[in-house]
Amino acid sequence: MKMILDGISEAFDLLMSGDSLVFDAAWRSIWVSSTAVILATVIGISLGTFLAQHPFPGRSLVVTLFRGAMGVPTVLIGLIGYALLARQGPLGILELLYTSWGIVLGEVLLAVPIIVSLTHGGIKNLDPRISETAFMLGAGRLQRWRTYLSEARLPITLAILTAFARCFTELGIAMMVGGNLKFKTRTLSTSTTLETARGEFSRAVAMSLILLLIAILITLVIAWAGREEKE
Amino acid sequence: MKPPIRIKNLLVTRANTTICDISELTIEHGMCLGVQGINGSGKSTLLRVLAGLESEYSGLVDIPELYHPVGFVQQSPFLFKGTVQTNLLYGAKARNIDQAQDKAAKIATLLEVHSLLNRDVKNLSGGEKRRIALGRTIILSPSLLLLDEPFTEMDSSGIELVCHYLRELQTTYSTTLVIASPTPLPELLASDRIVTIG
Repeated sequence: MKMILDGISEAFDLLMSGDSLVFDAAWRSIWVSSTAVILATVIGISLGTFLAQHPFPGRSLVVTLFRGAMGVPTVLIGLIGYALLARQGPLGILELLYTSWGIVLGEVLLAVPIIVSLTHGGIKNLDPRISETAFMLGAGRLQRWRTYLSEARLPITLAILTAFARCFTELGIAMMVGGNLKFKTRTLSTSTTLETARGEFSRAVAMSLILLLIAILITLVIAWAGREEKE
Repeated sequence: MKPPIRIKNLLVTRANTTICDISELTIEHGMCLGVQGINGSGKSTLLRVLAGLESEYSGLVDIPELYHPVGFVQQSPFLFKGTVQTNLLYGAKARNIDQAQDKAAKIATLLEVHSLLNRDVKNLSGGEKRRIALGRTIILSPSLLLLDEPFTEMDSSGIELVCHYLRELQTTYSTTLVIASPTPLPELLASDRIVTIG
């Protein structure tokens, strides 16, 4: 217990003094996760809306595959990312292995199934009168699409926040694709693992505190969004 | 003489149950047709077929081009998230209607919802919601207006207001009205013809 309390105390000192290792990892985690989620949002919302609105043979299978992909371990995604980005891999020419953009690519693979599945569910559960009303009022494809997104904004917001939380806290992709290189690809989760292994407990706690803070912030935003919707 | 809407041997079935069965119906241009029948008799389904929302049916449904655009106010209309103004202008925006703001303001005044323009639709009564749904359909100047139980949840002044307005649409713009109702239509809206189905 004393070790934990000392760790927290020292962690606050590190945070207050602006420890470069901690803040570099924090900044990279935020940047990488935000970029990945922005890219995944564009892909995921488009795909999720398409799947919810356009029936085609095999649609249920595709939806089930995306739902299943939500539970794939990040280590496996990291492994796939590594195989894709390795020099001999199909995307090796891009030279993204052990770079922040490599982690972004891996986290896009992690976030897309979450956003597709939750967007699909949100739009699929919309009142069927919405599409009929929009159709009767002469809305074109783009306006109808915007209407669905507007009516399903709560589940879509939750999808984006869930994806961000998952990307921000994941370890497997950042470790395998990023390589945990100091001041280059080190994120909060990879740093926490490393510092703990090295016995630098206070620094690990400081990084965990930032992770916890962001997780609490996301939970609060989700709760606030849900309340707004109810009101 | 303008061609009428013709329906012949219309049959709509769902899971081996007949939900609408009409052997013959003709709707003349500019008329006000009252469609009566008990709950489940197929009134709403007939309106949905005329609106183009039902594709699985057998029989002939011939709606000449002059009846387009078709306006349909559902039994339980859906209002989009946002304000009354957003809803009134929804279709106008979609169809690039000229001077949509002015038209919306005029219709809102006629339907006595002008004071509600900036109100969130969550805070409207059932009768107000119906008037907004009617308003946003009328702004599109439909040639054929289909109304499914439009007077439900409306108080007597609301009914009087809407009847007066529908009459004006019919006489001024020759709008063809088809109104489904389980009860006789208000006297103020004397229909030209009543059909009972089911």
